[in-house]
Amino acid sequence: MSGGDELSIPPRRRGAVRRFLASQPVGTIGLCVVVLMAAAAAFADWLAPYDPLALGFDTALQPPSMEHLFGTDSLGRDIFSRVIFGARTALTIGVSASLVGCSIGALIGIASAYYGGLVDLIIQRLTDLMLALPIIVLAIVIVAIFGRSTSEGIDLNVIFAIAIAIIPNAARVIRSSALTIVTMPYVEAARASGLRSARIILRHIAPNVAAPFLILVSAYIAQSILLEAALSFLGLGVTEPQPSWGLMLSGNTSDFYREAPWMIVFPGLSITVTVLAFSLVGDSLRDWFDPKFRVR
Amino acid sequence: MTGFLLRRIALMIPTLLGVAVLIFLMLRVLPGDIVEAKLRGDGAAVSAELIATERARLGLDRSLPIQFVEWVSRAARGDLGVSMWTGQPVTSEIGLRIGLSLQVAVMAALIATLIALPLGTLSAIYPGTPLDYVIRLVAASGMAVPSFWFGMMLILMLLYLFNWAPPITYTPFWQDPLANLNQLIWPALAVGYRYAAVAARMVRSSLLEVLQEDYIRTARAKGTPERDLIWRHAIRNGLLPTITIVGLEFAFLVGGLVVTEQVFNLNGIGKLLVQSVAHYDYVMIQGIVMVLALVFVLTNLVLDILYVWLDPRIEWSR
Repeated sequence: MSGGDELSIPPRRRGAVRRFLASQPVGTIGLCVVVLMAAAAAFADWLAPYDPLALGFDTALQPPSMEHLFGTDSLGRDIFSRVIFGARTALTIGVSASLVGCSIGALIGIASAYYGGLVDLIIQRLTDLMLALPIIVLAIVIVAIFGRSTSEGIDLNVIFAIAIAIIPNAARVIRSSALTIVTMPYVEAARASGLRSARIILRHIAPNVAAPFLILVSAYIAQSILLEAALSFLGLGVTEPQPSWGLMLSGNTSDFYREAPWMIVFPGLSITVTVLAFSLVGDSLRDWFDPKFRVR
Repeated sequence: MTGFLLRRIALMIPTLLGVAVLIFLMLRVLPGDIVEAKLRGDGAAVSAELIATERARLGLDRSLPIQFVEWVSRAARGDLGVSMWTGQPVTSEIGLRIGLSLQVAVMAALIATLIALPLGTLSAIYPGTPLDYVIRLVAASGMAVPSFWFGMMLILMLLYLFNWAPPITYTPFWQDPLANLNQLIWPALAVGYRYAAVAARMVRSSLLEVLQEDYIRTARAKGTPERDLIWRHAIRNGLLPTITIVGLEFAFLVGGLVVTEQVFNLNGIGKLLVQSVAHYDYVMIQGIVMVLALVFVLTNLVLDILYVWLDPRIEWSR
C-alpha cells in the first residue's frame, strides 16, 4: 500500500517482496495461485473458450474432452468457461466484502481501543452478541433483511451481507492490536498537542495496525469466497445466469451425480484451490510479520 | 459450586436479551415491510386494506416497543410465537428438527476430536519435519474445502465405489440406531473434516507453546522420559485451548450445518432457516436465532465447568 514510484520506497523496504518470496515458500505457491486466479478473473473475456452463458441443447452433459476441458453442464454450457468467469464473481465478491468488512471492523476496533471506557464497553458487548451466531447464519439473516439487489452484474447485497458478518470479528482482532498502540508515548504526544481524534486514529494508530490488518484481509478473502459459495448454493447469493462456483453446484446439479460428475467436481475444486491459496498467503504473512509464530 | 453455576446462568440472561434486541431490531426496524414483502412477493397487486388486516392479524400494527416486550416475555416462558408461514408454534417446528442438527453436530465433534488430537500432537512433537508439513497441509485443505462440496464428493465416492447413496429418509436413533447412523455419519464426516482441521491447528499451536514453558524444560532436565513429558506434563495444559475451540465450533455447527443439510436433504434447523428466509417468516427466523444463541451460551456454560474441572488453577469461586 506504499504509494508513489519505485524511488520513493526507502532502501530497507526495497527487498521486502523478494525476502518474503525467499523465506515463505508455501506462501509463494499460494501467491502464485492467487495471481493466476486474479488473471483469470481479469482476462476472463479472452481466456474463456466459450460464452459462459451460451446454451447448447445438443452439447448438454458432455464429459471433459479437448473441446470442453471440464465438460458441459445440463444446459450445454461450457464448464471451463463458467469456472473462469466464476473466478471473477468469487474474487470480486471475496475481495470487496473482505476489504469493506475488515476496514469498517478495523475502524470500530481502533475507536474502541482509543476511546476506552463506556464506548469500548458498548462496542465489545455488541460484538460479543454478534459473535454468538455462526457467521453463515448472520449472513443469511442479513440477506433476509435486505433482499437481493444487483448493480451492473455485481451482487451488492451479497457483498454487504458478508462484509457485515465479518465486522465483529475484525473489530475484535484489530482492537487487541490497537490496545497496545494507544498507550504509546507518540499517541499521548499527539493527544497533548491537540490533534483531533479522527486524525490521531487515521494517521497515528491505523498505520501501526497495518500488519494485522493485512493478515486479516487475506484470511477473510478466503472466508468470504467460502461464504459466497455457500450463500449462492442456498439460492441466497449470486443469481442465475451469472457464473458462480457455488451456484454451479446448486439447483438440479445433484440430479447428475451419476451422469455428469464433472459438473460437481470442477466448481468445488476451484473454490477449494482459491480459498487454500488465500489462506496460505494469510498464514505466511502472519509468520513473516511475527517471528514468534515461525516454526522452530 | 452451586453459587458458581447460578452466577454463570445469571450471566446468560444479558447475552440472550441482547441477541433478542439485536435480531428484533434488525428484522423489524430496518427497511422493508414484512407483510408487503410476503403478499407482494410474487408481484401480485394487493389492496391496502388486505395489508392492514394482515398486519393486524400478525400484531404488527402495534408499536415496536410493545411488540418487543410481548415477544420477549413470551419467549422467556418458552413460547417463541407462531410461524407466519405454517401457522404452527415456532417451538414445535424447531423441536422437530433441532434433534437432528444436534446429533450431527455431536457426531462431527467426536470425529473431529478423534482426528485432531493425534494429528495435532504429532505435528507439535515433530515441528518442521515432512510429517508436520503433510499434517499442516491436510489441515489447511480442510479449512479451504467447502463442507457442502466435500459432502457431495463423499456421495460421489460412495456411488462409484459401492453403487450406494446415503438414504434420504430420516430414521430416529431410538427406532433403528444403525439406519440412523448410516444416514447421518456422512454429513457428520463432511463437516467433521473442517472441524478437525480447525481443532488440529489449535492442538498443534497450543502444544508447541506449552513445550516452551519452563516447567517442561525443568522436567526434561530432570531426565523425564520424552513420552511422560508429553502425556503427563504437556497435554493437559495444551488441551485447554483445544477444548474451547471444539466447544465453540460445536455451538456454531448446530446452525452452521445450513448448507450441508441441504446436500444430504436433512430436515434440520438449518434447512428450516433457509425456508423461513424464502418465506419471509420473520417470527421463525427470530425463533431460530434465539435457539442458536441459547445453544451458544449453554455450550459456554459447559466449557466454563470443564475448565474448572480440568485446570486446578481455576477455582469455583471465580
